[in-house]
Amino acid sequence: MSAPAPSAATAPAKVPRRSLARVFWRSLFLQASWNRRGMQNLGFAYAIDPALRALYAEPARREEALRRHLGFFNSHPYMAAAIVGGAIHHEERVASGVEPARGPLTYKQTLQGPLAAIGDGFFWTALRPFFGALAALGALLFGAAAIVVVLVAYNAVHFVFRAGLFLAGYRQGDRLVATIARLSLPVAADRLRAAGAGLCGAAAAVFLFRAGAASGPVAAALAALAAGAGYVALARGARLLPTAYVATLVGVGAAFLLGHLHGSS
Amino acid sequence: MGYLVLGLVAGLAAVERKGFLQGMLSRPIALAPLAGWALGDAAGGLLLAPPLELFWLGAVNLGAALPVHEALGTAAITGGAVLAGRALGVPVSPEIAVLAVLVAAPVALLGRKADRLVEGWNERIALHAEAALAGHHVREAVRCNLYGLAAPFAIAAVLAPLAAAVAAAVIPLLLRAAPGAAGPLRVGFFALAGLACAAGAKALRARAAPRWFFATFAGCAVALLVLGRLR
Amino acid sequence: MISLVRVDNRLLHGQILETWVPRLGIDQVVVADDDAADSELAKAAMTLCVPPSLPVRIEPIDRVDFGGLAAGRDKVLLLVRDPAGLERARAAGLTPALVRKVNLGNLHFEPGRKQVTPSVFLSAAELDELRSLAAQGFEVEARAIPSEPPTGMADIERRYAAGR
Repeated sequence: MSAPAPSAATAPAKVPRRSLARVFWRSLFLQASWNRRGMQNLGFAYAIDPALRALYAEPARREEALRRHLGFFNSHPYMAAAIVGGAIHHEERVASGVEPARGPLTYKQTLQGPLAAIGDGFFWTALRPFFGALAALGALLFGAAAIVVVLVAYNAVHFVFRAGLFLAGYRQGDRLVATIARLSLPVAADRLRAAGAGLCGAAAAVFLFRAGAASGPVAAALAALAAGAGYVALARGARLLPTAYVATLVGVGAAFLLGHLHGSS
Repeated sequence: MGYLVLGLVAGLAAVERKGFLQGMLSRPIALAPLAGWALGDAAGGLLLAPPLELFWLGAVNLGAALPVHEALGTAAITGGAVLAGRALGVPVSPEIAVLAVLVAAPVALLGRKADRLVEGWNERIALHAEAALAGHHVREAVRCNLYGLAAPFAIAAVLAPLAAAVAAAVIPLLLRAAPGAAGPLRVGFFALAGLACAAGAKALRARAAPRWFFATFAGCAVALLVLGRLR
Repeated sequence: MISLVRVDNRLLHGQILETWVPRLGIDQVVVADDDAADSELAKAAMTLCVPPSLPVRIEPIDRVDFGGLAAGRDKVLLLVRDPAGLERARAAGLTPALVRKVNLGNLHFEPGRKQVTPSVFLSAAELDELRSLAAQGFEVEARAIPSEPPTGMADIERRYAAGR
C-alpha cells in the first residue's frame, strides 16, 4: 500500500490544540464576508485555515485543501461550529491517508442544510428571542443590572453550545448527529417560544400599569388595546412598522381628544 | 462629538450583528442602553430598550432571507432621542422617545436595502479570494474574509448619526411648537410599548404562544392592579 | 398527491421546513437522491431536523414510486438535488400528470453556471433540461421561499441570456 505522505503510515496526523483554539476563535467571523456566490465560504476557509496549515506542510497540498473549503457553504453560525470541527476531523483522516480528499466536502454538504434548520429553529426563533423578552421584562422591573445578568447568561449558553458543538464535531465526526439528536432541540424550542410569549404578556401588563401611573386609566386602557388588537392584527398578517404607526397615532389622537373633552367639560 | 460616538457604537453593533460573534450585544436590549450611556443619558437608553427589543424580537436572519436592520434602527432612535433631549435641556422622556421612534425607525428598512448591496459587494471579495488562491497568495485568500466587516460598519456609522440628526432637529421643533402635545404623546409611547409586546409574542411562533401571551397579560395586569391598590 | 417538486442543492433545510411545508400543508417529504439514500449520515441528519409529526422518506431516484405518491392522500413535497436528478426522475416515471409545479430553490454557483435569481445559478445543460421539462408541460419557476415573486421560464431564459 502506498502512503500519500511518508509519515502517514506511522503516526496519524493531528491538529495541535493551539491551532484548534485559533480555528474556534476564527469561526466567530464565519459571516464576515457573506456573499451570494458562496455565502459563508470565505468565513469557513478563514476559520479552518490554521488547521490546514498544521496538517499540510507542503504548500501545494495546503492550497488544494483550502480550495475545497472555498466552495459553497451556508449553515447556522452557531451550528456551523460543529461542521468546522467535523471538517477538521475528516481533514486529519485525509492528511493521514485513510480517507479520500472528498471526505470533508461530503461531510459539509450533508450536514449544512439539516443543521441550519435546527439552528434557525432553536437559536434564532426560540432561545434568543426568549432571552430578549426575559431581558426586556427584567429591565422594566429591575433596571440595567437585569440586562447584564440575562446577557451574561445567554452568552454562557451560547459559548457552551458553540464550543461544545465544535469539540463534538472534532472528536466524533459523523457520530455528532446522534449527540445533537439527544439534545431534542425542536422540543425545547417549542417550550421556549411559549414561555417567551408569556414574558411578552407580562411585559405588556407592566406597561399597562406604568401607563396608568403616568397618565391615568385612559392611557392604561389604550396600552392594553394596542397589545390586544395589535396581536390580532399582526397575526392576520399586518406589517410591523405600519401597524406601529397606527397604534401610536391612535393612542396620541385618542388621548388628545379625550383630554380635550375632559378639559372643556 | 456626540455624532462621532454614535457612529462608532452603531458601526460596531452592525459588525457584531452578523460578521462577528452574534452574542446579542447588538440587539436593542443591549444597544439602546449602551448608545444612551455613550451619549451621556443611560436612563434614556434604558427607557427605549425594552419596547425596541420586543418590537424587533422577530428580526432574525434565516438563511438568505434578510430582516430589517434592527441595530441601525435602535442606534438611530436612541441617538435621536438623547440628542433631542440635549437640545431641549432635558433627559429622554416618553414623549421624546416616541417621537424618536416615529421619525427614525424607517432607517431600519433602509438598512436592509444596504445589507443587500453589501452581499453584492462581498461577491467581489469572493472573486478576489479565488483569484488570490489561483495566484498562490494563500495568506491573502484567507485573510480577505475580514474585508467584509468594513462595509456594514461604515454604512451603520454613517446612517445612524444621519437619522439621529434628523430626529434631533425635528423633535425639539415639534415639542416647542405644540407644548400641549406632550401629554397625548406620552400616552402614545405606552400604546407603542403595548404593540411592541404583541409584536414580540407574535414573533414566537408556537401553537401555545397566543394562549400564553394573553393569559400572562391578563393575569399580571390584575395582579399589578391589586398590588397597586393595596399600596 | 404530490404538491410540489423542489430542486435544492442543500436538499432539506430551514427554508423548506419553515416556509414551504406550512404554506402548502405538506404531510410528507420525499427526498429522491441516490447519494443521500446511500449515506447513513445524511439520513440521520435529515430525520433529526424535522418535527416528529412530519415523516421524511429518503430513497434512490429509481426506487421512488411517483405514481403511488400522486395517487395517495398525503400531500407530498418531492425534493431532488439538481436538474440532473429531475431528468432521472422523468426517466423513472415522473410526468406532468402526477405533479405540475417544479420549483427551483437553491442551485449554487459553480464555474460555468450563470445567475438567474439571487439563489439560482444554471449551466447550459441544466437550462436545456428545464426547457424540455417546460415543453413536456411542467410549470417551472424559481424562488427560494413562497413569499417571493416567482420567476417563470421566460424570465429564466432572458436572464440566462443576459447573465454573466
